[in-house]
Parts: sequence; C-alpha cells; structure tokens
Amino acid sequence: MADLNWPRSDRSDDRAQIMLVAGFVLAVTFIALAVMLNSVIYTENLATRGEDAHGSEAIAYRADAVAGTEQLIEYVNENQTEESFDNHVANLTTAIDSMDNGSAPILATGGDRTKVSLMSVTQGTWIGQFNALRDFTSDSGAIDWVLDNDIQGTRSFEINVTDSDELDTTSPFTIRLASVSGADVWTVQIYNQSGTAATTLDVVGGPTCDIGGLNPEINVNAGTVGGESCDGYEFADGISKPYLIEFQNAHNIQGNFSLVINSTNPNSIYYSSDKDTPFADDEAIYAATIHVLHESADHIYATDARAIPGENDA
Amino acid sequence: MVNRGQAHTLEAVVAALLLLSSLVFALQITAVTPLSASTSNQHIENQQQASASGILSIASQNGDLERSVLYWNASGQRFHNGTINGYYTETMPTNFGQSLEEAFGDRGIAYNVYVTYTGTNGGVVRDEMIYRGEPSDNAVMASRSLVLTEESRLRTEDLELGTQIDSGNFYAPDVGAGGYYNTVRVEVVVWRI
Repeated sequence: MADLNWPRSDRSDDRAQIMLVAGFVLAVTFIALAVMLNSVIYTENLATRGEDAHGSEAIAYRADAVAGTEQLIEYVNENQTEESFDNHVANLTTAIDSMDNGSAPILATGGDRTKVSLMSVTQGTWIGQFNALRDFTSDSGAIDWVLDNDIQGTRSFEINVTDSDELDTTSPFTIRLASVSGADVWTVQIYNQSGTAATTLDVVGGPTCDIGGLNPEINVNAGTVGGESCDGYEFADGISKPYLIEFQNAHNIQGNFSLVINSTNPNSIYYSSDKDTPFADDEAIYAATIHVLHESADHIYATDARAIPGENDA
Repeated sequence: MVNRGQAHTLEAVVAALLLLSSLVFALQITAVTPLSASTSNQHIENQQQASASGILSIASQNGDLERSVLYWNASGQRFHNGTINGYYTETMPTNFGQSLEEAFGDRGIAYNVYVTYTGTNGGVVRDEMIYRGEPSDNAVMASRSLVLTEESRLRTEDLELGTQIDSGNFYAPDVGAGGYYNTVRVEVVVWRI
C-alpha cells in the first residue's frame, strides 16, 4: 500500500504550489493594473481641465459692459442735445451706475461679482444732417467744404441716401480724408452706375464695390452698404492723425448723414443749429473709458476698457 | 483513492473560485468615472459649453442676440409665434435660433434658452425663451448679457424695427435711470439626450 501512495503525495504538493504561485501572480497583476488605470484616469481628469482660470467669462463680461456703455453714450448724445458736455458726462455717469446696479444682481446669480464704473470721457463733436430732401452742401451752400481739420478719430459715420437718382457718376459725391501734416490722402466716392440697382463705393486706389441696392444706408466706418460689406475696404487706411474730412461735390447726394469726431473745433461758418441742415454739436461724447471688475471663485479680473461706439464696426 | 478524489474536487472548486473572483475583480477595477465613455463625459460637456459660448459670442457681436431678445409680440405677451406659455418649444425663427439648431439640433443635443432680467420689484426674474424640457444633471451653461436702453426697439415678426420698449409692451420692465433700461442675460443650457 505504501508503494501505491507515492505519486499522490508528490503530485498534490506540486499542484498546490503552482496554484499558490498563480494566485499570487494574478494578485500582483491586478494591483499593477489598478495602479496603472488610476494614473490614466488622473491624467485624463487633468486633461479636461483648462490650464487657465476660466477667464473667458470675464472677457465676455468686459465685452458686454463695453457694448452697454457704447449704447448709453449714443443715448446720451442723441437724446440730451443742447446740453453742456459736463451735463452729458453727469448723465452718462448716472446711466452707467444704473447699468451696474441693474446687471450686478443678475450676474450674482451665476456666482460672479461685477462692478463697472466710469473713469474718463473724451469730448467730441457730433456732426450731421437729418433731412431726407436736402443735399450734403454746407449750411451756406458750399459744394466742397471741410467738416473739421483737426480730427483725432471718427466713429459712427453713417449716410442714408434717400434718392439714388441724385447720385452722379461724372462728378460723384466724395469723402476726402487728408493728414494735416504730410501728404496722406484717403478718398471714397459714392455713386450709382446707370442701369444697376446697386450703389458703388469706390475707394480711390482701393476696392470698388457695387452693393446694397438703391437708397441704402451706408456705414462709412465699416464699409457696408445696406448691410452688405465691401471686401478690402478699410476706413482712413494709411492716414496719420490729426486729419481733415472734406465733402466734395456735396450737391450730388441727398439724404441724412451723421458722424462723431474726436475734435472740438468745427468750422462754425458751415453749420447751423438746425438739424435740417448740417449742424455740429461740439459738446458731445466721443468715447469713454470704464473700469471693469469681474470676480468669481477662480479669478479676480480688473481692467480698464475703452468704449468707442461704432469705431470698429465691421 | 477516496482521499485523493476529495482533494481533486476541492482543488477544482478552489481553482474555479479563483478564476471567477479574478474575473469579477478585473471587471470591478475599471470603475465608471466622469471620463468613461457616456453621455455625461466631461470632454463632451466641455465641447458643448465651448460651442454654446461660441454661438453666443457671434450672436452678441453681430446683433442677432439683441434682435432675438427684442423679438417680442407685445399684444400677445409672448415671443412672435411662440406657444401660449410665451416661449418656443423647438427653436426660434431668428438667426440666433438657426445657429443653435444647426449646432445642436440634429446631433442628439437638447438646449434651453433662458432670459434673466431685473423684475419690477427689484428681484431677478428668469423666463424661458426656448424650452425643451428639464435639463439632465450633466447639462452645461453658457451666458452673455445684453444692456437695453430706453431707445431699444421691439422687432416685428419679420425682424423690422418696431416701437420703443417700455414697461407696458416688453417682458422686462424699465428699472434704470439716465437712459439705461434693463440688462437681459441670455443663458443657453445644453445637454446630451
């Protein structure tokens, strides 16, 4: 009997050892796998987090605050005319404080603390004419006339052509910008080529565009006619400041125009106080600088931002 | 012989248990994390939020957002062609609505748009502009704010300029001084369905 037992004792010893070793190897493998997977998960977790402090919210808020301020500047300029510049600034301050008070509780619901305050205001001149039946000649009737000759910037330059038949191809209405010191000149002509239902915006030495239909609204800053843009158009391209703006052949266009310039000494002989003929209100607001604060759990962002309505329209 | 048979059976049972438990363990160590492929994946949430912010930025820049906020039917007290509750249940017929529909509509992604503003009593009011149901736990939000002045004008059904807004004809009341009217925050909430 003893002989018959020998293989059993030997073989069972071997098997038990192999199973033990196999179990141990599996255990180590799984621990290694668990560690490895954890580090993969950790790496992926890190990868989903941006390396920034969620600054896009703050940047968006700055843009919204600037856009709001621009609207308020336009409101103050257009609705509180014939008041002094100081009154305009006081009104704008009230409006911006009111905007801050109105916006802060709404943004607070998203966990952000915000503050907008007015820092400084640049005085400018609002020039325009609102008369659908008049050409663009000066108040005294001059065909070629200089709107202002010491301009540091132009914004919200808009023309509303009320009768395209008045536009002329041979001696077209021309807006000429020229540097006061130096020979830089930038010129754009507005006319209607006969037989086409489009308005031509022709930059001398630059692009020419037939766009926008008849009787359009033209944004001279952006180079859009009736909302359509002119490729390659760049207002005041290559002009150094200060510069002058001159209307030429102003009898060959009819409608309304409006612009705000960064200058406070328009040549009064060309203007009247009546908005039916060219007028110049040199108590207007050209631009404002606001201080913007945006604070959330991840960041505090404070900056000064400049609001110039309609200067960079595109 | 009897002893050896028992030992073999036990070994087989132990080996089977070992195999089974390793299988269970191997399945369990791959835990479900926020990054496991699913509708609540963090990468997808980030992507959706980026898309929503992008659409809002563009709409804010080109004026579509303002047009949509002011696309209000004063006599019906709702957005133009909105439901009886005032909001839209699919999308809204403005460029902003179209952008949202193109970005999310046919990709199995639902979105709500809310407008938040200061109410008559000074509290913050949140109304639906587009409402497609209760967002899931994994919804993300992007927002932009828009300042309205007393010169802002309602839009007619075909997006022409209408009458000036006032507390009587618009959902948000006049709460400001010096030309400021109210601030409307547009929130886009996006989630995968």
